[in-house]
Amino acid sequence: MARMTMIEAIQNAHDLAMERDRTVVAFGQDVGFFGGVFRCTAGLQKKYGKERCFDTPISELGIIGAAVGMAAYGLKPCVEIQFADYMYPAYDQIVSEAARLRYRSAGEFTCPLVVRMPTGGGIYGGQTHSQSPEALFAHVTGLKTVVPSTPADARGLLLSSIEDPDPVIFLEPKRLYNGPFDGHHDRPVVSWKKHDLGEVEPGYHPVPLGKAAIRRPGSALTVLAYGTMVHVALAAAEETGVDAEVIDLRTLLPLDLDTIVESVRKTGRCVIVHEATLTCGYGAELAALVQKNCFYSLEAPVVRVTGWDTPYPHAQEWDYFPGPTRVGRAMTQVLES
Amino acid sequence: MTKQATTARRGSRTAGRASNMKLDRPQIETLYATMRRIRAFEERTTELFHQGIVKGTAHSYIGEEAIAAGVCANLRPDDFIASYHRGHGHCIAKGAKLDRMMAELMGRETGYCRGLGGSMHIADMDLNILGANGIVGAAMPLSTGAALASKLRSGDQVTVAFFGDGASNQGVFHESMNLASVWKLPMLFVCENNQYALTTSYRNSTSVAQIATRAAGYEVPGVTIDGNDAVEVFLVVREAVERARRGEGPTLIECMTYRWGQHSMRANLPEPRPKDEYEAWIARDPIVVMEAAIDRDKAVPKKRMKEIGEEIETDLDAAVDFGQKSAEPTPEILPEAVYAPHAKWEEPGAASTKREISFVEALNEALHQEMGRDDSVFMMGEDVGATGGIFQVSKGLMDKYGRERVRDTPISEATFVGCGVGAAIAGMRPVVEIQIFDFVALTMDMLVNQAAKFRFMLGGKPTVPLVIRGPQGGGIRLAAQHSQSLEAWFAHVPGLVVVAPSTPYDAKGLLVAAIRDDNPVIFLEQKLLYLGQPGPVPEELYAIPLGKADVKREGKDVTVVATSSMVPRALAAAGLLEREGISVEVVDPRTIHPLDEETILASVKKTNRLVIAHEAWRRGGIGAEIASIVMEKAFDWLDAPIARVGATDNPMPYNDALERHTIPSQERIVEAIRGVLG
Repeated sequence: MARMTMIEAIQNAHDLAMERDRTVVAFGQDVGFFGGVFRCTAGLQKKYGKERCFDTPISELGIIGAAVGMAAYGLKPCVEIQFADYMYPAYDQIVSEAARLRYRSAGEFTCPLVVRMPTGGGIYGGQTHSQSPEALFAHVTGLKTVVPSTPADARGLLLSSIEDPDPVIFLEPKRLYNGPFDGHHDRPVVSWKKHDLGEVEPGYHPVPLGKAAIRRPGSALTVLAYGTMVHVALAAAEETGVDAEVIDLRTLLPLDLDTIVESVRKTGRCVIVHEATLTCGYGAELAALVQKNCFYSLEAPVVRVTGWDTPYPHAQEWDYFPGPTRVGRAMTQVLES
Repeated sequence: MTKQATTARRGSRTAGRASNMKLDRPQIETLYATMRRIRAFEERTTELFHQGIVKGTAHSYIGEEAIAAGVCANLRPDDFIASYHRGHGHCIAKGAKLDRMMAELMGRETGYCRGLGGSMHIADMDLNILGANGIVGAAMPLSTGAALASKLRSGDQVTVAFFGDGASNQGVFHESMNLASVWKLPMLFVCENNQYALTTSYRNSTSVAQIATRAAGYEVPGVTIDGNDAVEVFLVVREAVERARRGEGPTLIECMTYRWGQHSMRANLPEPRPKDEYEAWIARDPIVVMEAAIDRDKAVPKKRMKEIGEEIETDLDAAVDFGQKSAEPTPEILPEAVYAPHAKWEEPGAASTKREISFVEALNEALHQEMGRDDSVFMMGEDVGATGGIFQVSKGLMDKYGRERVRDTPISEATFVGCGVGAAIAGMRPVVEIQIFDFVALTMDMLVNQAAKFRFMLGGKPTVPLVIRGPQGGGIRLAAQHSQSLEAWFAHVPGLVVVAPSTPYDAKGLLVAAIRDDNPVIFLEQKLLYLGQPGPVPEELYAIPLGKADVKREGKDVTVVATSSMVPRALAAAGLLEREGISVEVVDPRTIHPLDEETILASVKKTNRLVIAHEAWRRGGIGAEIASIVMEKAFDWLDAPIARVGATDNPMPYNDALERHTIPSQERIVEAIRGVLG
């Protein structure tokens, strides 16, 4: 078993997919020559040539628009938006074109497109390099939304996303690129290379979309998390001693509701954690589903722990970020109420 | 290259050679001192970054100092500039204080943005610096707005939009050039062509050899000049500024230059630039170029040049000291930094009048009366002028208030919304119509990254009094891209206010409140309501407070929280169920954000059961948020799971029956009510 960083795992997914399927192409700003600002496409241009891995102008709308057309006519583009915060100029192409193509053409055209983008804060990126926009995608019918939390998942879910016949928004928590960051920003992050969760089995192993993973079985309460917050929740469980069942959703849409409902019916309590702002975040949808499906099992209100309802502040980055202390406090609170 | 640009370029070269003759000593000294000041600031910032005192990242302007110095030396304090991620130099040249800049880079309370912005968002509204910007190209639409504001006020301020070569491939560059040309806006497009967008060479990603030639497509003068010669920049910009002040419109100036460092101070990228190219440009250091000219003409005494260097070092030491001694901001400042306070209005109530008008007429009356009351209110959008908007909401406004204040725009949604943001920041109160709200997806960056964050990024000082309004929703057979209900997107974005009236009375009073509010307001008009019955609306001007729900019908067995087009359907459902002895309370939030939780919770605590109905998709809709809030705050009062009624999980179909199937009907609301009672 090899160990990889999430960056290497994502690069490896590209490599495996491009080697196997000539219709897979990768492009975006600084993706080709340079291999991406986070190095997720390093070496691909050299190996597969400028026709299959290339740089684009700074024109997000153009990147996605071109990819939609390529996808409609038989290619499988896997494109990078340099930071999720930069996707807004392309938002129309995503929601009005990519998400609608199958529907509008009654299935005659499909849009097998992957849009990758690094999300989340924790690198002092300020308001326009730290956002977590998943709720803006999860509300749009026709899209799938994926957020990995380990290198193996990043690779496996990206392979499935590339194989998928429909557009997939693939959100990469940038704080997890190098190691399982648990929210303790004042401590060094262990590299994936030195961590058991960094193990990735060599070869082509897709991870199915729509299947959650139970990262920590428990009986006291259920934590629903994805991306960076999975590791924060695990840290919070350990530090508080609460026997939490931590569910890593892995894909937000399609959502593995069965695993969630089974767990909450067992524990009777639920905490939802995400880094995005609270109001109308994906946590609202999860809470609404949990209360609907587990109403008679719930012994306490479902609690959401999220980023504040403000832009990502430059100075108070670590207050905004729902770290293990805040998550731990919510766990204790839900147990006591 | 077009003939125009070639000629201009040749002309400017001549100007460059003769340049020193035309500048007096104080001007030369200013240019020189500004460049030195920027250089020293960036060198110090780089040191602080490597020491971990400046965090995140910062983008050094070293190598490009002549442009900021040459441009800003032509500007008055009340002229506007808007910048991009490499923005320190522009701020310094426009007169920003080094100590407050340094404090901002360190994330301190005394910084220009109280530590909320950092390097990429430094701004100073007192100097009309609209700020650096983290989104490539965004400065241009904002600048069209600032320029429009001075034009509408008959002022003679000019606005300069700085941007890099990479930004000239963004759609908003082209849209902004077109808009500025069509409206003859007093502005300059200053392209700092340092030849690499991060690592991508502009020669490999741009369709023209020189970006200035793109100006020809918009009938705007375009010139390419030596961006490392401050005197040349100064002289060429002087002409363009004079031209803009005379009301003759915009100019595109492409300044060829080179950045010495990597894209950002993180400096963790492989170097794509050839060594000989790099060395040739370093040899043309703009400060050395200037020193050679000074030396040749004995323009500034050696002693004075030495003093300049010493003064800058003293200032910088003091700035670093000031930053390090300043306090960090505390989280208490955040809420007020996100939203400006909402005014408290007394509403007259719909029962106060017998006059009935339609939803559209109510909106139209609000616009007429507010434009009459306040000169800073103006309107723009596609076909809003002579046509009066495709749904006639702006009917008659152009006849009454003229073409300056009621403006037909090109079909450039991103840019005219950005123009609205810029004009609002510059003190106007724009009302921008999105013809069909689905087109708003094209403007998301301007709404999410610009309008919503502007106040916050600048430390909570500026206001953005902007209304973005238009029709949303289905019901008139316009299919998947003309029928969506999108309020949940906006409600998820801190900094935006979201309003969705359901009656003519609410429509008028809330639109008036939206126009008067100091925040960006998304004002959603459901198309089904355009077709609805007239309702009572007072003739006099009134405003309804934002964030206040209205109980449209009282009841005791179950609460229905319905928004917009679902309010009439919920009321009809309530009427039907009354015959069976079921008493339904219908609450209309009216404002989606801020949400009147108090009224909703009070109702649920009375009825113990809740149904939420909206026309948008159920998944991820505002109903999810309301359900979560009620469950968190009224858990012990709930006797049944909360039910949500929303559109089925598909885009809007064109077929009539399928459209009716998709949009929640009265029957579906009835069914949900029975469900929570069962």
